[in-house]
Amino acid sequence: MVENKPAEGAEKQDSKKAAKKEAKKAEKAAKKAEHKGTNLQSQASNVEEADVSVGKYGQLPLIRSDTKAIQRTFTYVKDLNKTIAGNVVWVRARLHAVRARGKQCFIVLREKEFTVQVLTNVSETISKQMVKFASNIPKESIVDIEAKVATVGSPIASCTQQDVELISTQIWIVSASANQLPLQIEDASRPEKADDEDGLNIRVNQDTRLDNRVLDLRTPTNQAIFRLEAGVCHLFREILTKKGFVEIHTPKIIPAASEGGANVFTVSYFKGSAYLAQSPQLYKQMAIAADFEKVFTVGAVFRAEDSNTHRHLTEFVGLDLEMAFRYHYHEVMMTIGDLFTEIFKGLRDQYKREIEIVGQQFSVEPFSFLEPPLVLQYPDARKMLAEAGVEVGEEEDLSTPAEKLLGRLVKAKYDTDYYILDKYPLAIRPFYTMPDPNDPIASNSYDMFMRGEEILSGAQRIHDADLLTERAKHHGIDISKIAAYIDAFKYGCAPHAGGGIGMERVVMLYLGLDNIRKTSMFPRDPKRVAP
Amino acid sequence: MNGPIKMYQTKPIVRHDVPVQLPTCMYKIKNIYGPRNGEVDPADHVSTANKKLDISEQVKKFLKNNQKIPGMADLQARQEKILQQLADLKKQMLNIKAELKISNVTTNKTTLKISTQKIEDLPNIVIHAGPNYPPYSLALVQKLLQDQINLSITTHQHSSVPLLPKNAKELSDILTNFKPKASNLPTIYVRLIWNNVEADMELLVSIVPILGEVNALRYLSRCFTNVLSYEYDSDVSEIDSLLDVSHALISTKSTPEKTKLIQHFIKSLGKSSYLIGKTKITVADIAAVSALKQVAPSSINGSLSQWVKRCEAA
Repeated sequence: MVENKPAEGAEKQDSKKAAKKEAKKAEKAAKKAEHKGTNLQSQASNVEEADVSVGKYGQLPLIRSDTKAIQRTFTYVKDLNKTIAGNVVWVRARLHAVRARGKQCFIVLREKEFTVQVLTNVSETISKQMVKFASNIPKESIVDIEAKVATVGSPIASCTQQDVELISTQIWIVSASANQLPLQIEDASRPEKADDEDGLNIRVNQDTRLDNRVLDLRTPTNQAIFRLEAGVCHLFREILTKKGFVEIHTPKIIPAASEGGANVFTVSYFKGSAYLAQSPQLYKQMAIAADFEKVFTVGAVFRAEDSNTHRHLTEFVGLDLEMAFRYHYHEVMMTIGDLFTEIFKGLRDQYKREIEIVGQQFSVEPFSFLEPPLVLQYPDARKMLAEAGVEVGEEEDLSTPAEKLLGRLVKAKYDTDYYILDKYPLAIRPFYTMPDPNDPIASNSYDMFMRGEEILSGAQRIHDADLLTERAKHHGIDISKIAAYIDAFKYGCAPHAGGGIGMERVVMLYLGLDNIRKTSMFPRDPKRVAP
Repeated sequence: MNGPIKMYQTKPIVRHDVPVQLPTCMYKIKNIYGPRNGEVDPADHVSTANKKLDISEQVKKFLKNNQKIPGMADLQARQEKILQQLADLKKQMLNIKAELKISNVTTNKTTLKISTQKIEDLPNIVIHAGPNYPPYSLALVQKLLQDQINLSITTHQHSSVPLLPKNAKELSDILTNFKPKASNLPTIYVRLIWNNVEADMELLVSIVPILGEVNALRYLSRCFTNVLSYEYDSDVSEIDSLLDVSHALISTKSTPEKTKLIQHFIKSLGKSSYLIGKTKITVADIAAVSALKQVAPSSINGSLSQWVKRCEAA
């Protein structure tokens, strides 16, 4: 029983059902283990006369960081190649697949996205029992294997380490997995090609994946997606810090709804109630009013929108920035545009491998962009849409299908998946958006698009308390409710602009994935709060 | 390939401008192609021009014959008076304008508006060019048009082109930093995108691209009729064939072929200032200079180098 605890612990389940299932599985596995007598002590006690491999296989005692335990040096699977052929190495990895054939047993070990083939052969030093033990290790168990690196005649197509295989001499289970897996890693990582009729068509349903996210995340694609996501955050921070921005942290529990009241989560706050922040907008602007000049923040953003689409989450990571400028908000818009170009270039150059891995499962066109970024004006966009037969009113917002169509039109003409749309009509923007000085219909606001979907919405904000009050009144907003916001500009504030980016959306669209749940590690939507 | 085929002009086979005698034995019906109110647009008909001419001659005759009509002097006096009144009215208007401090720009603006109106029909032009084949012709066109149109070019680098070669970069700088002599000109925006296209650059106005630099120049020459147009030139077929030579020069990979094609230019240039013995630069010159600079810069020597310099200074 004891030996099975780590496996159980690793797959902590919140829901009761899953917990029960897990307990049952653990019990079963334990019984099996006992029955087979595979653990070290029992192995030692019932020595069979023909077993020449005693002490070379079995279940390792639970690792509890005992300093007296033997210390071994391990080699990473990705480092196994021809140059170390002939060496004896220790490898700790997951057992990806196992297949017994007579006196032989083939094991595929997996570490992150790297796989290698292990061969166990009955021989003078390897007993039948050991091969049998090896072939019965449950998939996804973590094992320690001592083996000799050997070159192979023809490359092994099914593994990433194609030119070598391991000839095992010792096999130990470090942490056993349950025998029954809710999903197979092979199924979860099978390439999705629309035109491939002959290939196996077994897929894992999105909900099954999310219910067993721990297993699902082990696929090479998911490993790559979340490393790339980390890259986006890292590049965002690095590039902005270089440009002289300061990272700030804004509260997530806020006293009043920041953008309208409808889509906000209410939480009880001692004797009263408070809200979860829909955007760090107000706090970013306050930081500008407090003379930080250029600020950015990375943090959770909450939206209580009951929309079950491929691109909405109720909690996501917002990459927000705000910047004071001298004369024209285009100074800020182009800073953000350059930021994106830099991020895209960083991803293209530093995350080539990850993009390739994701491309193997979900074949999509590589992301294209222009440097400097393409800036279109709202009237231009309307004209392009009109030419394609979609009329959009002068003061009308683009509908989602219109946005998609525009994305395709821009891609066809300019060959870019990323562009900025400037000068949105004032009527469809929030009250704090600065109106255009020359055109009464337009405003100093912009949206940015990737593959035809909006990823950033931003504008020059009104930094004058009187004008802000006037605009709020025009929009029919109760002045007393936003008094704190207006007060922030009472003591003078630099002209500023900014915007907020949805991190998950950027990753989803950069990779050309079809669902935002693929780029959120533990997604939250109206129908899912677990795991 | 035996070099481009030369074209020649032929006389039209069918003439459309002969007067048509309509039969009178049938009754007439309204022209359904004309405007709705029943009036017939004279443009729809073929033989109205002659009649007009007749009338004016008749009027002249009439005036000649009736020099001594009694009311004539009266009529003249009346006309003089009206003209005087009009002059007065103009003076008054000008005074009012001076009082309101409106300068005379308005008249200027109206003419400008007409020209912009024409150009507004032109949507944004996008050009995808391969970084190894920089379209030098754009710089020449930009210069030639500078008195009439401000061809404002911005450049972008596509993500499939990680590094821009030196030549492309230089051309980018020239194109983006160009300022026409006259300000206040109508502006056409062109976006030049360095993209992963090969020798054939793409010019997009709508979704369908115009392939090849030469064809792009043909398109531009139709847009700016008074500067680049060659379709009414007497040597139109000659110019067209030289444009084809330029295109072949950019597309070909073999060096002997290139030298053979360059010979066409040398022959056409002869001892004159520009190709085909012209004294003014034509589209053929622009295309040829650009092609030579792109694929055979080493061959520009002797009379060719003088000519290239002349073109670039034009």
